[in-house]
Amino acid sequence: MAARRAGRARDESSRDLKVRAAWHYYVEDLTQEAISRTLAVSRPKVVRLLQSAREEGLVTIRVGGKGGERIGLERRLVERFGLAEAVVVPSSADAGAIAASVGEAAAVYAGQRMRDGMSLGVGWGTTLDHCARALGTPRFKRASVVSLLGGMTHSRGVNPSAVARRIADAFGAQCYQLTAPLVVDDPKLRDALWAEPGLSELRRRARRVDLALVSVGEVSEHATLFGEGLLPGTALGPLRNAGVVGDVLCHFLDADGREVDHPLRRRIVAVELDDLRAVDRIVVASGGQPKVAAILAALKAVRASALITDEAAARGLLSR
Amino acid sequence: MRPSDTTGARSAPSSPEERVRAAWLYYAEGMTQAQVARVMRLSRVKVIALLAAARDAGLVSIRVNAKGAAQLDLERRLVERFSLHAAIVVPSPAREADVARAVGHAAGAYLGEQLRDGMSIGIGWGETLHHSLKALGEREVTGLSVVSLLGGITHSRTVNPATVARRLADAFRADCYQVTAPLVVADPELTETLWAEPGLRELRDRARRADLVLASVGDLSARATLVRERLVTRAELASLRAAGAVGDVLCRFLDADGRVLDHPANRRTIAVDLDDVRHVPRIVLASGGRRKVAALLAALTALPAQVLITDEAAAEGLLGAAPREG
Repeated sequence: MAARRAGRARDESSRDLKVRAAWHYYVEDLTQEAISRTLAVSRPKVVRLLQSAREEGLVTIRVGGKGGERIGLERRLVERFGLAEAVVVPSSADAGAIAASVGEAAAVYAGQRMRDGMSLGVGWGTTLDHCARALGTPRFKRASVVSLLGGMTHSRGVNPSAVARRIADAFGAQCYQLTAPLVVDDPKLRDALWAEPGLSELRRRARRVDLALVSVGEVSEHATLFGEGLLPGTALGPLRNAGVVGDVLCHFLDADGREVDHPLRRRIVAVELDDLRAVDRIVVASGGQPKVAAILAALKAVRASALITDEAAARGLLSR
Repeated sequence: MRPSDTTGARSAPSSPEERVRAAWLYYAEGMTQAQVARVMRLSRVKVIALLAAARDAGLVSIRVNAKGAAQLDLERRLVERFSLHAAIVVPSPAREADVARAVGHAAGAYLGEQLRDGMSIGIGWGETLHHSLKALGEREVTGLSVVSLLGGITHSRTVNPATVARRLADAFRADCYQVTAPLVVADPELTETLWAEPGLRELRDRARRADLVLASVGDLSARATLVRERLVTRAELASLRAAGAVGDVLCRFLDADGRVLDHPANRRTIAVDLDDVRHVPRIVLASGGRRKVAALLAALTALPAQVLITDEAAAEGLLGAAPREG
């Protein structure tokens, strides 16, 4: 048996080895030491195999169940903000880990509520990108996904069109893309684009989605909008001075959830907040202490039915 | 850390919150056990206990989304050879003792994905199905009903048929229908009398109308659940082997051709007949390990299974055996 396995380790592709290592480690609870013996590879190699199995999504792990504390936070959020549901995941010191955790929770939430024939509108950002990657296997025949924002010609992966595409693929759903740049230089071009039959049709479709999944951005260089270089860092100061605390679908909001009439507003090609408000069920997925003001503004701007966030943001929201 | 933390941690019962947090840090954030211990200010021993408890409580849902080329090849060949709708082959575990856990994991994941509102599931028992319960995943399904296909045992050391059905039902707040009778009775006439009871007759009708049946097969080794639970004595085991039995499905002992043996052991068991579930649209058999090959082969002949969930070793054994007749 051992000899045959050793043979396998030599013959199999590295992807096959990752799958085998993942089974041994996560399902059989073998130690890394035992796996290195079984697969006849070095211990560091086992560590690498397991790490890439996770990073490449060959294995996904979800931790369900709720601690009493987080259940308490969820209940208070529901009450305070008139939500149907709230999901609170554990916090982390690392903003990336929070986005991953909130995104994974959003994947569980969307996965549980999605039914065949449903239409899902999606925003973008790091959180939703994690959500897309954490979704399970395709299982629908007649579902559709609608991207609520324009795309980018070049991006490092958090492109709105890529997020929508990934979510659609994960559900086995049709994908409707907003085939326009997310940011244009000329506001007139934006109006001209919306006048296009294909794009106005997409906007009507967006108003009719059964469920919209959006995240919020804060006004900082760490927000995807600025991090991806879509807007220059020099815009941060003027936006803050105008009272902007965050954005939903790239629409800038003040602390009261009102859209701020900043010149940038007319250069963004994204489904309008009024369009979003037409949607019955809106799910806001964002976490981390720095996003508290933005989440609060978003909850005032649209009537969300669900909020998915982390403990730190939940506490921040409840202390306001 | 205070000295008392380490000693106190071992005996103190863990809170659900602690279990979730440990599982989260270890599985979702990918920390090592030592890192989790540091962050949570607990001993490593306590962390290991928390992680095991989280797994047992079904708090951790693990999905291996990809398959190796060897698995895919075996699956394709099994589907072809046994005219299946689908085959799922998991990598053979490093330790034989983990076969039920690995195959059970795949069976639970499969069952979880198949569940739909209002569905009725007929379920067998055994170690494999016991492990499957941990891998069902989180699904919101309503109006589910679960039908246990076998009688219960008054005292069990590991897995009770009634418990497998009950726990599946609990996981989805489903209605649970139990065979309220012993799995094995001393007096064969009692089986007739019991099945004549209105409640049990109704359960049997329900089993016939199930949308999906999930069962595993048993072999006739000393390690089979039936033997370990002492439901079959060593003398009976020898007598069954002499009569040509190779294993059982739903506690019906089969010969190598998949026929239910005319043997006293088959007349003392209270379980839904194979004929009762024959017309269930989706019959799923889940068992693995090289020692179950003969039993699996017999079960695949005895029941028109649409789905087989097994491991590489059993798959190779099945494909190496003579083709099924007809």
